This record gives sequence, C-alpha cells and structure tokens, in this order.
Amino acid sequence: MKALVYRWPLAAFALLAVAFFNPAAWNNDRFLAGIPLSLVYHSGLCVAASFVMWAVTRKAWPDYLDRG
Amino acid sequence: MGGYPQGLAGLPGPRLIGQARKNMILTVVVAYLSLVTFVGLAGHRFFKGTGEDYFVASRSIGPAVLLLTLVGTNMTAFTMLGVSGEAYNRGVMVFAFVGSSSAILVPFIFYYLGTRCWWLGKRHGYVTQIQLIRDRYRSGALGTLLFVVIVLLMLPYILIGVKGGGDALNAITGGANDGIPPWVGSLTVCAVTFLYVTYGGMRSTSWVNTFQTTVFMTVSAAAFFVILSKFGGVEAAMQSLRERHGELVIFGAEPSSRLRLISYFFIPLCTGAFPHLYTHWLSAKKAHAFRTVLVFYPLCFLVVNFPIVLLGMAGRLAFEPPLDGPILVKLIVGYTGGLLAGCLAAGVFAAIMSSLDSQSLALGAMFTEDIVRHYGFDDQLSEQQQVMFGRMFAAAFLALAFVCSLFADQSIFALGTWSLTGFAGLLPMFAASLYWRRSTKAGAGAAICTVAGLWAYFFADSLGFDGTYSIGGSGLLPIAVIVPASAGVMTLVSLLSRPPADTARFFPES
Repeated sequence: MKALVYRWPLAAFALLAVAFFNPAAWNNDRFLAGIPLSLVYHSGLCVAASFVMWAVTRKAWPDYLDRG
Repeated sequence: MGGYPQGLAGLPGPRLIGQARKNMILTVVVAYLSLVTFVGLAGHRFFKGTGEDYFVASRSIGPAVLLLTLVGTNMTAFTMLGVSGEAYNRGVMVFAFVGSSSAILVPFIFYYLGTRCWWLGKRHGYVTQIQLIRDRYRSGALGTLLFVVIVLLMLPYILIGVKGGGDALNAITGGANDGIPPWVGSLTVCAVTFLYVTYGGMRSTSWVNTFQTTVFMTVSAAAFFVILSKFGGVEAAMQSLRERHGELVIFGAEPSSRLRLISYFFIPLCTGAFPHLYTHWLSAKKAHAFRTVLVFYPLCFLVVNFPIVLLGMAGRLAFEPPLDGPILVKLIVGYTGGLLAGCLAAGVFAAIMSSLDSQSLALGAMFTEDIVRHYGFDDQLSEQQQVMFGRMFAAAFLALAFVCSLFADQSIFALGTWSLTGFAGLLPMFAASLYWRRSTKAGAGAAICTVAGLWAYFFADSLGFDGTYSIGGSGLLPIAVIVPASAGVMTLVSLLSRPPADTARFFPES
C-alpha cells in the first residue's frame, strides 16, 4: 500500500538546493553557446526540478489524495 | 542600421516613438483588453450563481488550466518589469534570485501544501485558508488576526499590478514627456479586472489567466528574439556586454551576493501562504490535476524568466542609467515595430492582470466567508448574497489599490519584495497546521505576531534607504530572519502550550 506522506522528495529537494548554492557556478565569466555559463547551469536546474517532480508524481503520490 | 539611429558603442540606438507608432500600440492594447474582457465575460455563461462556484469554480478546473492559471497568478509586474529592471542593474544573478529558486521550491510547496489544502478543502468545504486555520485551531480570533495581516500584506502586492499597469502604459506611449498619464493605465487595469472578476468569478479568472499566461509567454519569447536580433543576436549581445559591463555576466560579482542569494531562496516560500494561490488550489477538479502542475511549473518559470533576464541585461547596451521608465518597456518601444510593440505591451498587461484578478477574487472570498459570514450572518447568507459581498469587497480593494497607486513612489521590485517577505514568514504556521498535530493556537498566534512585528521593524528601518535594503548593508534580507524566527516561535510556543484535542479529521494518516 502506498504511503500517505512521502519523505524522500524532501531529500530530492535538499539535493536540488545544494546544487542551487553550488560554489563552482560562482565568480566566472565563462560562456556556453554564447550565454553566461551560470545562466545555463541555473536553467539546467529548472529542467532537473521538472524531472524530479515527474519522479515524485510517479513514485511518491500520496494515496489519500486519490481516495478523495 | 535599418532605420535605427546610432546608439551606444556603435550598436543601433532606440527609435523615438512617433504618433503613428503610438496609435498602433494603443490600438493593439485596446484590442487586447477587449479580448480579455470578452474571454472573462464568456466564463459567466457557465456561472451557477452559488458562492462556491463564484469563489472556486465549483472545484471543476482541469490540469492544463490549473497549470497556466497558477503560473499566470504567480507572474506579476514584479516578473515582467521588476525582474528585467533588476537584471539591468545586477545582471545574470537575478535569474537565480527569481527563476531557478522558484522553479525548485514552488513545486515542492504545491506538492506538500497545495495537495493537502485541496484535500482538506474538498473534505470540509473550505474556500479560504482562514476557514482552515479557524477550524484547525478552533479560534475565531486567530482567523481575524490572520485576515488583517493578509489584507495589509496584500495591499502592496496588488499595488505592484496597479502601479505597474500605469507605469507601463506611460512608458510605452512616450514616457514622462508626452506619454499617457500613469493613472490612466492604472485605472484601465483596475476597470478591466473589475469587470470580469465581479461578473464571472473564479471560472472567468481561470480562463482569462490561461489566455494571458499563453500571451505573455509567447510575447516574452518574441521580444527576446526580435530585440536581441537588433544587437546582432544573443551571442553578440552577451559578448558586447562582457566587454562593456563584465560584472553583469559574472554570477556573484558583488561581495554581498552570497547572503543575498540565501535570502532570495526564502522568497518563493510566500507561494505557500498566498490566499490567491490557495483558492486556485481549491478550484482543482481532482488531485491528479496537480501532477501536471508539478512537472511543468519549473519549465514555465524557465521559459518566462530566461528571456526577461537576458533582455534586462541587454538593456545596458542601449540605455545608460539612470532610467526614466521600465527597461523592458524602453526596449520594446525602442526596438520593435508598432504592431509588435503593441503585442509586447499587451504581454506586459497580461502579466499584470493575471495576478490582480486572482488577488481581488481571493480578498472578496476572504471578506465574505471570514468576516461577513463569520460575524453576524452565518448560515443566513444566501448564495446570491455571498456572491454580492465577494464582488463588493473585490471592487473596494481594487479602488483602494488604485488610490494608493497615485501616491506610491517606491520601485515595483522593492514593493514586491516587502509583500513577499511577509507572506513567506506565514508559511511555517500554515505548514505546521497541515503536518504537525502538536501545533497549537497559541503557537500560530505567536508566529503571526512575530512576523507582523519583525516585518514592521525592518520596514521602518528601511525607510529613507536608497536601493535594496539589507540588514546592516550585509546583503542579508529581512526575509532570512523573519522565516526562521516565525518557525522557531511556532515550534517553541506550541510545545509550551496545551496540545489541541480532536485533530484527527485534519490528518489523512488518521
């Protein structure tokens, strides 16, 4: 039976947050495809967040929501 | 130069707005506003005449409309005008401040809070978050305190839209010299919003938001390609920027950037406490509608913020500070033709009104359900009377915001940040009410008072401050203090007060 509240999405969120504050993305003026690398990196985080949420909706959807 | 005068450092300069272009822009804007009104009024055809239908569309909204409505509601003048303005001043880091931080945080807030609120709303018949808090903690006074705090915080947030509409129309039509006075644009935004919100309620608001979100996402993409093509394309524009304003393309160039980034990561928390997002959550037909929202919300934020940040940065290639109007509007007017400029101007209005309508509707719902029904009328209020009170208060609040917009002189971004700070501070209280059985009425009340007290203290401290205020000039914004303080007080006071009885019906685990 599915759980009512899942906690692993919080771990996924923590990983995204760590990536958000990644110091490697700081203080450089490098470009990728004509766009500042840090902007490309943070755009990638948006896409990663979408994938994580896709996994959350597939694997951590609380059972009680669909029972109404 | 293709009709463009010589600009800064050999790049094409902005064109001045002539009467013919001005007329074209105004024609497109008027046509757009008419279309918005038509879509909004069309929603009224399905109106069932009940309070629940007016405030939450009888909980019938599907996934696509819910997604675009939530995105549109969360995009304001703050996004279109404020973000581009901040990117003009601070550069690429603004994308992390408002784009990627929201793309990461907001879906999790919808997942943990939005779905739970939807479930409770459907189960217990709530249409406002104050009903939930009153019921959960069995305290009418707590609900009234929350109502007052939310209304006070909402006023500057609504002002963003009303003032943004006036500023945008003024700048689009020529600016300080011969542009349309800002109050005309503000009045127009209020009037159009008033029409479809009061007539059709949540269904009209959702339909219009869906339409407007589509418009401003398309428009920001069009603006991105058309305007940057005048600077030789994205790559050439960014290269020019690196040569002339290198600090704008470096992430974290300012010494205080790290603390500022930490502070801005707290700001999306406000979405968990917004009354207008709460009513949209409750309008969902099924929990499954949230799945689409969760997956696509980060991508929508990327699509909207990416071009706007780059456009704001590229604005430095064309306009030297200080600016006499929003940078996005100055780029639109200076670098696009009349028809496209009109469409882009309509996109700015779309972003503004897609929030203003939901905010007005939510306040109308709160006034009707949490004040009028709670004090005095209770179940004697007919469905028609509920709708009438909702309409009256939405109209009154729009009128108040319009009057205030005539006197407000702070930048749109600063106004927005203060409002969002207060709402983010309320999130720990809402989260505790949904997930922590041991949380108490005293804890919730203390948390609300802490937020109000700290907010007022920092706001008073910021008065007369030039630029974005931070604590002691460190880069740390008040939000980074208010949110942890609110969470700490909620926890501590709850543990020190008597546990509430009979909370099982609020927890699906039971």
